[in-house]
Amino acid sequence: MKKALAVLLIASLALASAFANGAAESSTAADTVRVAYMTNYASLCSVMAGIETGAFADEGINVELVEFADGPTIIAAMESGSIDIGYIGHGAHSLCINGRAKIFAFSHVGNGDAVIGLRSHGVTEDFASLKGKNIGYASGTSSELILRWALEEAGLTMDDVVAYEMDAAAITSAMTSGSLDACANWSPATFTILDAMGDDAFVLADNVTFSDRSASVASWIVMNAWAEENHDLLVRFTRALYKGMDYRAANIEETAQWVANQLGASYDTIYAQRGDAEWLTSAQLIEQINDGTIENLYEVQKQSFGDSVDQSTPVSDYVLFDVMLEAAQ
Amino acid sequence: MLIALVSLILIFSLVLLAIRRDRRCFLIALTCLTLFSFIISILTYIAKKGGIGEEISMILYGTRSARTAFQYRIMTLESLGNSVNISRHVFPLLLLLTALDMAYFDLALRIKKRMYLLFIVPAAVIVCYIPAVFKLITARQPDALGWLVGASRLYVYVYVAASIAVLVAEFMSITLPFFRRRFLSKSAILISLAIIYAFYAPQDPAQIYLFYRNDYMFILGLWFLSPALSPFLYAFTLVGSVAFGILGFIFLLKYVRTNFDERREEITLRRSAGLASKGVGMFTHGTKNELLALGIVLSRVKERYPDDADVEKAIGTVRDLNARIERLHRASGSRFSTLSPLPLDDIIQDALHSVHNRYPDEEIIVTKTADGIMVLADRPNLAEAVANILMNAVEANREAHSSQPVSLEYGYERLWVSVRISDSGKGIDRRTLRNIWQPFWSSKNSSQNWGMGMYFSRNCVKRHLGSIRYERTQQGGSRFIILLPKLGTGSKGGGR
Repeated sequence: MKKALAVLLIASLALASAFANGAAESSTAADTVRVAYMTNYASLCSVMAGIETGAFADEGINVELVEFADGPTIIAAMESGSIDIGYIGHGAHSLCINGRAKIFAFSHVGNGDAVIGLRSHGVTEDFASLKGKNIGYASGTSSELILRWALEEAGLTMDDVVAYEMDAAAITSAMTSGSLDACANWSPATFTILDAMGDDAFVLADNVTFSDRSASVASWIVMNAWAEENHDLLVRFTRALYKGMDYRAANIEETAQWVANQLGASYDTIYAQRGDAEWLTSAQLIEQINDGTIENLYEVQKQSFGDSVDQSTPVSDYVLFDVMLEAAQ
Repeated sequence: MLIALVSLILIFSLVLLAIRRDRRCFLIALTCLTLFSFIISILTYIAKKGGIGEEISMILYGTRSARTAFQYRIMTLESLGNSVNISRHVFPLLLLLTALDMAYFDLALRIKKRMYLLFIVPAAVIVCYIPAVFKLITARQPDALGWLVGASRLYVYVYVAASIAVLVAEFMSITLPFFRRRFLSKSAILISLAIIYAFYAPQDPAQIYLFYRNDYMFILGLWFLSPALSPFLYAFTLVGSVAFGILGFIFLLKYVRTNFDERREEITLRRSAGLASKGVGMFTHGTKNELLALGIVLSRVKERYPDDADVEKAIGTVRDLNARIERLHRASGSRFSTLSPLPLDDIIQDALHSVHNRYPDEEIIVTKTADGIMVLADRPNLAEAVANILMNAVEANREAHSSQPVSLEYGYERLWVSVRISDSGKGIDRRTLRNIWQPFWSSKNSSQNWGMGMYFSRNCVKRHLGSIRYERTQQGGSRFIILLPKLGTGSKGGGR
């Protein structure tokens, strides 16, 4: 027994040392950036194109990708210091407006969020049919926002339905098993639900339905301190991201394959998500920054959050347009 | 991998419970079950949140599909948070209860009398952390949130630390190496479980169901990505949890095996004793008849030679032999013993007297570590049982030509009164050790040995609700330890 204990102790220390050495090597390597993403095409397409085409390597950046469930969790991880750069969807922007993080790159205006209902559970195209129904949503994200808007359309609130606070994956399982009547989720979970449930499931509302109320903007963010301390790195990262955006625009199929490889998903599933947003090239983005379109999108988005954010905060306080413009030079 | 280890620990704790259905095994199984539930909940949370790399994912889940299964578990955040609430707050209580169950020092015994007090804090914390209650309290009194989080952590850390302190204190109070080894293996199970638990204990349950809602909770951040966990510490934490998982598993396996072996040995001995009982009956019956006849002959001889000392001595020997045979007959046939409170000193003196009758020149060093020890005993039988072992020890010394005398030490040990008999002979090999408790078995080729001494001693001690252990001394000799239940409670035992 003593020998077994000794062997176990030595093995533990050796393994821990190996892990620690690995960690030390990776943390001391020049310009390694830990990037948080979500499991969809929208989150990964530009960064994967940048990695695979060598754009990040050309800028002297080694990208380590880490998968997350949603935007608020990514921001929490960034606050803890385990992530440097993160991708967030619409819902988590409220945290940036409230000063938790800075947006350094615009990603896209998306149409990936949807409220889905099941006909067999009595949900119809009329929003009022949601009353009293069991609905799953992911709070603090674009899922919650789109659900609230759908309910407001019928003069309902969250108190008029049986709302289940869940994560995106659990919502998908619950919908496909018939445990919920409706849900609010985002791509590709929405595709999974629609595929699995066939004609029974339908899209009650998506981002386009509420385009008059808000812009479903997705962005790349950093912590305030990290942005200040790593300005040059941030500009180089953005420049590589632009190269990825440009490559993606001309090579959608190849980019979808790279994303599918990273996620371990099928090509078809990923390729089907290409319509989730309007994908800009870097030139189009710079043009829209210069003509004020992007700032206006963020302004509209801010207003859609209502009282949950400080409306007096100027967009320029939390969106680093200077980084976006400098990277394009 | 971690999940596989925790599952194995749970399975073996249930096996242990199936083999030995007592309170301690029940507590250990319950503690393992709670830890299992806690780890499952935490792994579900991590899988749903993400943020871990492939290597860490492999350590925690093993395969990608296992992680995906956790990720897609249908659970609301409230039910997941409540699951963490219950398992996180019940585990320290069970750990402390199990540690106390294994402890017999004075303070532990005093705490056991008021065990119900230990339930108050965990019950209060669990109720406060029920999602609906937690939200109600913090909505009415926002400052209470910080207090609740602090109180919960304090409770968890204090109970786990107290459990380990109890185990250490108990270990320090044990003097018998045999008991120390057994206690160490049992307490290692608990310490392994406690360490696995401690790695994941910082996860506040309310953070799971309030993560998106409350700024204060948000500030707590994700514990498994906490800045306090440096890359080395994080790696050490994960490797450590796996290592201690393996350790816990090994100790549990050893504990299960020991219990299983003991039961098997007991069953084998019972079978042997059952088969031998007829033989023992015939042997005692036949011997008694022979002794009776011899007694009659000696009585007649005495009538003829009334002053002959040798005749008197022979009559005395026959009388003693008759008494021994009668005791052996009773011990092998009867299911009942009459026990009464007696000073152990008297029984030891009787045993020494018997040994000196047979080996008048042999010195036996007697040491006692406590005065006034009382035991429930059948005096002549127990004295005979002790004498048998003493005589074996004397013979072992003689065989090894050892000049060191046999030693006899008695005193209190945990819940027991121990009588340790040590010789400086050659020790007992494994084959002999397997057989010494069998009836009619002797390693000595002598007309004076019937092979019934150790069989009788073991049976006798069993009838006194005790047990006999064997261990080798540091010098290679043998030490037999008779353990008898302490009369009364407390470290001073008997008088209370």
